[in-house]
Amino acid sequence: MTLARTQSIALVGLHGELVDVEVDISDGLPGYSLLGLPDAALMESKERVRSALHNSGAQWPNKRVTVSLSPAWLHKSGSGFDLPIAVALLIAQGVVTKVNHDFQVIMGELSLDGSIKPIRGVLPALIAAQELGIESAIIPAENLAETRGLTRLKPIPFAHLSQVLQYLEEGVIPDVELKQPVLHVPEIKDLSEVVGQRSARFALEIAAIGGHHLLFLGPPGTGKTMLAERIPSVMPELSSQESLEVAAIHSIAGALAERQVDSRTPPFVAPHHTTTSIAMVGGGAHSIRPGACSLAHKGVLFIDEAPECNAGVLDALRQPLESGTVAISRVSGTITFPADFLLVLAANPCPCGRFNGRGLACTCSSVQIRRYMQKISGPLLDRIDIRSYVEVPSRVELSAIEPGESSADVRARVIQGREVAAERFKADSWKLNSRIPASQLRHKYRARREAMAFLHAELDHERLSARGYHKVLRTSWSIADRRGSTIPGLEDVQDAHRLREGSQIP
Amino acid sequence: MTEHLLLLALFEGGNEIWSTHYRQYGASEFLDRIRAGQYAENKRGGKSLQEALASLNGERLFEELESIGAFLISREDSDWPASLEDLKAPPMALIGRGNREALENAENSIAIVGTRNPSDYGSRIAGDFAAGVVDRGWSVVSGGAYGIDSAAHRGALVAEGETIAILGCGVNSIFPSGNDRLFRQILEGGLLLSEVLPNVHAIPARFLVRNRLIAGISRATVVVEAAFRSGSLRTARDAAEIFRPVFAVPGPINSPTSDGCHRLIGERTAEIVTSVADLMELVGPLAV
Amino acid sequence: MARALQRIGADGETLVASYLEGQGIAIVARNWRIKEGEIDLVARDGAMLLFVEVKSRTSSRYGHPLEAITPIKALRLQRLALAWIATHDQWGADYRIDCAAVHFRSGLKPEVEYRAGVL
Repeated sequence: MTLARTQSIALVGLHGELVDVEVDISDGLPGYSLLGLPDAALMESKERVRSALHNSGAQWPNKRVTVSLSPAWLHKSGSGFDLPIAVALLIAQGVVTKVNHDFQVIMGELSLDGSIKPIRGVLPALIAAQELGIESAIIPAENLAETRGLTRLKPIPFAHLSQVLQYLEEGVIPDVELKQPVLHVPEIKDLSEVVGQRSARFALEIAAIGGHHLLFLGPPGTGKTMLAERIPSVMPELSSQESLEVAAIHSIAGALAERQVDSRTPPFVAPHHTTTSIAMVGGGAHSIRPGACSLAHKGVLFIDEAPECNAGVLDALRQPLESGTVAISRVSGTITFPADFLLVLAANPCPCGRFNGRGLACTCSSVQIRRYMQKISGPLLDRIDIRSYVEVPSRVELSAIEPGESSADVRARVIQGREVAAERFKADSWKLNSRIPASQLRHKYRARREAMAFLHAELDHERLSARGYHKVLRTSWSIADRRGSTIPGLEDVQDAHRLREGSQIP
Repeated sequence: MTEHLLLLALFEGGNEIWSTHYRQYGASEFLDRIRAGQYAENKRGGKSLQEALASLNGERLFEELESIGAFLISREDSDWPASLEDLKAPPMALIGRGNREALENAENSIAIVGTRNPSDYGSRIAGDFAAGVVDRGWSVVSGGAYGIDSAAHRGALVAEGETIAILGCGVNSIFPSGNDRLFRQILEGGLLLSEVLPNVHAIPARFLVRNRLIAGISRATVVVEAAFRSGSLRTARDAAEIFRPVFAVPGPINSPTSDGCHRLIGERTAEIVTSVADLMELVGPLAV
Repeated sequence: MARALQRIGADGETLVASYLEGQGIAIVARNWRIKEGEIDLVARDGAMLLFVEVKSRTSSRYGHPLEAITPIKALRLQRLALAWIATHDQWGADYRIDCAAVHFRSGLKPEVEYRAGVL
């Protein structure tokens, strides 16, 4: 009876747990058991490991093999345990005699020919390992690029099982030819490319300053998408911590090809309106994956043609908008992914898109229009602090030779506005104006007296709901921060009110 | 020409009496009468008209005019816009700078006026209307001020049409200062006009007097956005006085910058207009 | 013949003026003329100014006189009214465009048919 043990990391959402991979080979009828609540992909590991061993010059033992992944109560998923199982097996068989202990965790998928395939979630796994004090890890070579941000853990990349064997025996680390991942990183988009749209620019600047969710309303072709795409360019850069967190989420989702690992630009995610709930918020039958909401964590989630979304999809956004996280429940437990994003919706004025200007070309009935707009009304629209009408640029705007204000200029103001807010909230648990709790809005973070009186009058006349009242107050803080006023005054509150209602700011 | 320069130096525009005298006697004889002491009771800052006239140097005025590349135009010239003669107190002369040929089409022009602090909506409408007017072969007249005036001039320029700015100051004064570039662009194909001599500053009284010229030279006046006490409401009245149609563009009813227009419409002193097509249709039929 | 028509016109206006005065409405001006047209009567009823176009006819052979007010004519009347208002410093005053038809029939008293607010 021989027993061997290696270690790996199991991911629960973004969180990683240290897992012991024990392999026991004993006499008895040849058999195989895998313990530790494995999922379907993990169950298939036996065949992969057997072929990989065979093609690396080793053997699958003709005995009773028991693999146990502990802690036993933790559900384990994915193909990343192939490699630690294989190594433990080789150690148990005595094929590997000297065990070089410079590594502490192992992860990787095995292909039938013995090559080591990349897996998802390497970055968050190693972040967890780093936190546990682990100093080195064996990982697939193709996952090396994403580990760039790790400071206290040394990843050791391998491309083939035989290389791992050689390393274990002789301590030789192969010269791995790093295949640069093909990056589909979109070019930097700058706000100066947008023609005119003064009020839409103002709206998105305020949204960026305070983290207010935003709706662009207007006919097709007016640049709603263009404007939304440029919001990340006016947001402050991610901190290194945030950048790592965002990369970790992308790693689990397998979406690192769309983003440079150490990018400090807030992510921009634009799921198509035919996206399912699961793709939007996360989930999955087999392995649980983060959805678009989480990929947009610390960035912008843009839903174009929002009224065309399935009702359930928009509804599913409520939880992340409320809590900044997505909780996916399974029998095995609840997995949470972070999902703290700025929501930007875009909608046409009507289903055919031509209900603007004189509206002569519009073919929709008023019932159709109402039904269309109602799809984004209610609880979701209630969370939208700012509504901005985007129009076809005028002839004068179209012919302007000077470009509009650049992202850099706007970002400078956004950064300043956020600094003012952060200073104000230094004793509080929130940092953005859009997160001020309602109770605080009534006490510590009231506006000036005339401004509050104005809001109360609007409430009395039922031109504003209670929720709207709080929303307008939060937005007024962002407008005041931009303007440099210490407390929002009447003008700030009126501008915020107008931003919520969607009329132009004069 | 020197005579008219002297007259412009002596008299502020808009005075019915002097205007009538000028019309009655003509420039030369009018000046002779002044020199002869005919208007002894009228003082100019303590001096009599006669003394004031004597202290002026016509030649120097002419040199100044030439040195800034401006010209003087009066009703003695064939390209003097006849529409100005409809005014109660037509100007004795005007100083111009830019493309003199723009005067040929001056009668087929629309005046677009309004507040100096328009909303985005007002600026846009002013620009769109101006472009539309110019597309139909007419020209745009306004006052060169910030706000609606500037938007109208820009709209005309963008549509590659002619625009005339009638200023309350001298044609070489850049006022307001932020419109320096706009004025240079206007000079290329259009015209800057003024009833005052070069280097004369703008003062509030001169703006009101200047507004009547905007109303007088054009075929119709459109007020795009005006607050309750806007000066453009006065221009509307000046236009109505000489049977020029006045139009006003509506806006949001809770927008202070549309309040003046709504009053004009409500009091039925201006006709409501919501497109350039409607505007041109309503200007046309009663052409005299 | 022309002079007779002219007199009929003038008589028509006088009749309408009397008709209005009989109702306590004061006549402010008659035959106000500018280059672009003429206003037959300007009257004041309380705070409101009335601008009256008078049409006199001896027979109904040429159609009802009030049919002669086309939209273009009405527009001209309105602009003339505004010109009067501006010239006489009454800008912003409430006003109305009216029309009166005077039917002259031989042997009978002439009849005044008054239509208020044709525009």
